[in-house]
Amino acid sequence: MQERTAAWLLLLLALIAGGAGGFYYAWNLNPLTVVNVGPDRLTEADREVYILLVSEAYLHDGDLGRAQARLQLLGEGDLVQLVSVRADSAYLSGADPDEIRALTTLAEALGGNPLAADVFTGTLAPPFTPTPTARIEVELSPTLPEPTATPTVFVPTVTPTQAVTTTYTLIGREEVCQAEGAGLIEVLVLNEGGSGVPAVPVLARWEGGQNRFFTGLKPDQGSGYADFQTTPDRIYSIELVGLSQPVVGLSSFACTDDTGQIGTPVYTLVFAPLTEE
Amino acid sequence: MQRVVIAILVGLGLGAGAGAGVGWLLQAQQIMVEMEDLHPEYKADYTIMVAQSYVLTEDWDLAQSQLGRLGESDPAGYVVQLAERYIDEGRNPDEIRLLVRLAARYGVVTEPMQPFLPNQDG
Repeated sequence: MQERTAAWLLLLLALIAGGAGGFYYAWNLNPLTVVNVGPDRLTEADREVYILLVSEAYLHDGDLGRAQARLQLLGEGDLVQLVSVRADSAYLSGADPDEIRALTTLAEALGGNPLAADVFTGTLAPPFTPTPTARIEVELSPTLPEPTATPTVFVPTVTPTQAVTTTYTLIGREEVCQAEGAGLIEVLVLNEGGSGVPAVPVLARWEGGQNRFFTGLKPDQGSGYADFQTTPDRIYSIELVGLSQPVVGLSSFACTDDTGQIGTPVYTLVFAPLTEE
Repeated sequence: MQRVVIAILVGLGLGAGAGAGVGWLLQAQQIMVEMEDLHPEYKADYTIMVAQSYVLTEDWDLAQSQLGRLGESDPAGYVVQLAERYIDEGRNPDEIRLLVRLAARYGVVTEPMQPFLPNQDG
């Protein structure tokens, strides 16, 4: 009887010891390696990259059904929230305008209302594709989403609603020598009523380079405002892409302010529509 | 005595199996992977998205960095192989053009790719 009790006791102890040993083996000595999996297993950093690429792919092909199918592979239920949160985060953190535009455009297309929607609304009018209702199963034999329609390849352009048929002209130019801070070119784009026009692409050029930015990305400065920080000792030109003639000769060479202090120039350029005859 | 030995062996064996099973199961629930561990078809789709992004941004450094996440030792070779596979399999011509464009940017254009170069018809 005693031996039987001891056997049960030892069995229990052996189970515990074996369990601990097995767990240690599985966790430390021979950990699981997973390959050939779906995007739902991606790390957070790679998910961010994946979602951004889905957004840019949508900007490129305008295939909403395919974008949705790709996002569903991440295994998250609320796609609107998934993209909107990223779009808002990109907007608030001052990310690259192209990234904000891609994420915002997709978030809006999915039915969301991202913060930057006012800036980028209307930047893309993709062809309609129905929302897939079937959930996509993804494991070792994946079925990738095929394009839901014959894709129309086009490169979207930022099209401000106020500026589609309007040409802009420079109506104000001010230069101030600022003793402190970096050189700056401020651009203000107004509509006929004098209100700011968001999402207007602005191109700054200098010898050997150029940079494109948009109005409206600093809402606290007004929806038609944009600025560009200059590098000393260059000469810049500024234009509203496809909408205005370039404003040339904006120098970032050192200047002297009213008090005799050395500073850097800050330009303010105001654009307004040309009245059509 | 024999009963005791058997109990210990059985206990250890069962315990080890169960412990390892639980360990692997827990890992399977939490394990996260990087782009390079994706199934090849997902890697291919990712590559197409990189190509679409490249068409928009024309930022080659960015495209290379995004392709670098696939962990391929020879990204150019990978893109070329993928493009040729898509051509062989008669995949969507728009996707083939995107891949060919990437391959061409790497400086590799093979004969099957010729019809899909941007300045070609179709």
